[in-house]
Amino acid sequence: MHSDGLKLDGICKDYAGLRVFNSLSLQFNPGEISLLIGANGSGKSTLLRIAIGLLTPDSGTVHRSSAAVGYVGHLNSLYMQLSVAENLDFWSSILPEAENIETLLMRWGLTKYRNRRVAGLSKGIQTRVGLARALCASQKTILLDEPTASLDDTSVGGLITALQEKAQSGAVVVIASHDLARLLPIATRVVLLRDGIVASDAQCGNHTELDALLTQYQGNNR
Amino acid sequence: MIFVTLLRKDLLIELRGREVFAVTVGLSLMLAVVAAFGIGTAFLNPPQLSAVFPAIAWLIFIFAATVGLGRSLEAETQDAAIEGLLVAGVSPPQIYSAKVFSNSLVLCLGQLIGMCLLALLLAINLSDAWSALFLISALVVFGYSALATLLTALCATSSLRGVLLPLILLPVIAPLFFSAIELTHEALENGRLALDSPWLSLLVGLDVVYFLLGLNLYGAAIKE
Amino acid sequence: MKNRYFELSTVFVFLAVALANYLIFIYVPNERVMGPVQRIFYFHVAAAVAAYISVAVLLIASLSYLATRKPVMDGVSVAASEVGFVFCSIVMVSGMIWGHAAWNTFFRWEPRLVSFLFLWLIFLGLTCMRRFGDPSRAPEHSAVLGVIAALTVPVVVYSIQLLPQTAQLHPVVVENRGLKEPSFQSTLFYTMAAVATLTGLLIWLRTRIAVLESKRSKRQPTGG
Repeated sequence: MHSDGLKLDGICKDYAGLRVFNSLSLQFNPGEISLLIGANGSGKSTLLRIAIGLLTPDSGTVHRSSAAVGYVGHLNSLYMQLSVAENLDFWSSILPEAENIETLLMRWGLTKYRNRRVAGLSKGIQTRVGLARALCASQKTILLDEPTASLDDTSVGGLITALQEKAQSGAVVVIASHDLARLLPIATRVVLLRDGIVASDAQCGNHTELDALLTQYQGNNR
Repeated sequence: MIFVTLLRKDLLIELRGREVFAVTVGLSLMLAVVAAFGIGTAFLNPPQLSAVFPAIAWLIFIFAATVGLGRSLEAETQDAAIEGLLVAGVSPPQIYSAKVFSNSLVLCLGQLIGMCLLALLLAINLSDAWSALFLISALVVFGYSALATLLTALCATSSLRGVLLPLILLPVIAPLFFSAIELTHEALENGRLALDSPWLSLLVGLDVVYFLLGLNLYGAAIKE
Repeated sequence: MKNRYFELSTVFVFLAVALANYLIFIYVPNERVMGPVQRIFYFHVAAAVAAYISVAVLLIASLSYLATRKPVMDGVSVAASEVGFVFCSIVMVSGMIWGHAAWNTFFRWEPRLVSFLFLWLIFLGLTCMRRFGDPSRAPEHSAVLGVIAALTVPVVVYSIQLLPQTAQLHPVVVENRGLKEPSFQSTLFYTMAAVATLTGLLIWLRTRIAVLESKRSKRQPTGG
């Protein structure tokens, strides 16, 4: 059965006194790596949180074809007092079909940090652990909010490899980010959000559409 | 089983930081010394000391445990770990049960230590009724944990979390407090647990009710 | 349209309470033993009824909010807890005034007074939750606490009755059974009914204010 991916239908949300979304609809398909871009305050983070189920929309529906989701928001969802290995051990026990810890540590370059407490690690390493956590099982829906913010180029390379593998195995990948330079090359689709509506939606294969979208985005950011 | 994994995680975190245990036992110790000193000035005879002991022991526990639990959700909210649990499909009742049991274990240990300490200072003999006291402590601490774990979640994101918890917890913990005192009193007098006591039925009933309430309301307390 | 019903109700309640005052101060004769001070009894008992009504409304509104997430139900919760707090304070103060006049003591440890003391503390806890809790989660958190608080009230009453008693301080003459004089009885029942309608009106008014307040705060942008 071909899975439907991630579908948001008619989402309305008031948040902290503001009307953030007014009947927004979006569909993300399996195998796509979508980049969600927009100015600060355009609603990217809120949209991801609604899509992942942490926020309930005032009206509208969210449909995820699979229950296996991976999410890294502004925080990494780690236990600061535990070590890297203990954290990954815990999270992989919670999730079905999780990868072996040693493989996970090696893949994300965390082997030498395995017994270090998360609290004592740099932000970049913590983000790597958080990403390892979010991607350690066969997640079919992956939502990331500014994942590259504290990562160096090598780590971003590792992230990109992991995401491409996931997309190839049929996962839906949505990344909200300002980091066009490093993420645009792997994106298959770009969605521009402005003031809570989809201002533009372009496939990366279609260069005209994409250029128009990027001009629009950069024009607003001047 | 997810419950076991969660319980292990909670106990591991507590073992690392020992915040709940340290604060509970530390405060119990200080309060026990102050209380013993204060009572000493009243020159009570042994029967009077026995009469007053349960109330003071449980008062010390409730106060120390409430302060100790004040920041117990910090580990979950610091890095939004609890969000990760929800996203991974763990249900709030599962998270709640694991926390109640882990808190119960830690607090029960703290309570027994505190109570023995106070008994030592007041020269009260607990050995005749130790099995009854152990059982009473387990039941009371479980009920207390069930309620306090839920209420801690209500305070976790408030700016005044350490202060807010006692304000909302202490009035509603009253019936549990009364049961604890009366049962401990009866146990010390008779050397055994009074199985037909209305207080025991009340205590067990409260444990069940608080746990059920927590299972049903924890989701509303932690979700956005 | 709603305003019209509300205004009519206000007039009706005002007249009803005015009549109650007339009955209390003019119609009913002085009580033989205590004299005029006894008249505070009517306010005291009626306020107690009002407090219990508020608890019941709080329970229903809190459960309703958790089930439906309707903002108006949160408004009713706020109203019920504030109105309940006020009436409970009236019960305590009038009880203390009466206690001092009748038995030369402001407070004694006996079932009804202690039950209301705990009720007052519970309402205080609810107020603190509203004031110091996380503002973005206030409706859910207050609803959870409201359910727990309301369910605690009957348990507290029950458990306090189990406690070993000293003297029953509420004199028999003021129990409903003991009221011999028919004018006393009818005044009491009428006052209870009048104050009950006043409670309803106050809760309604406060709910309207709460709903308007939340509408106004929604309109002010707070930034993305």
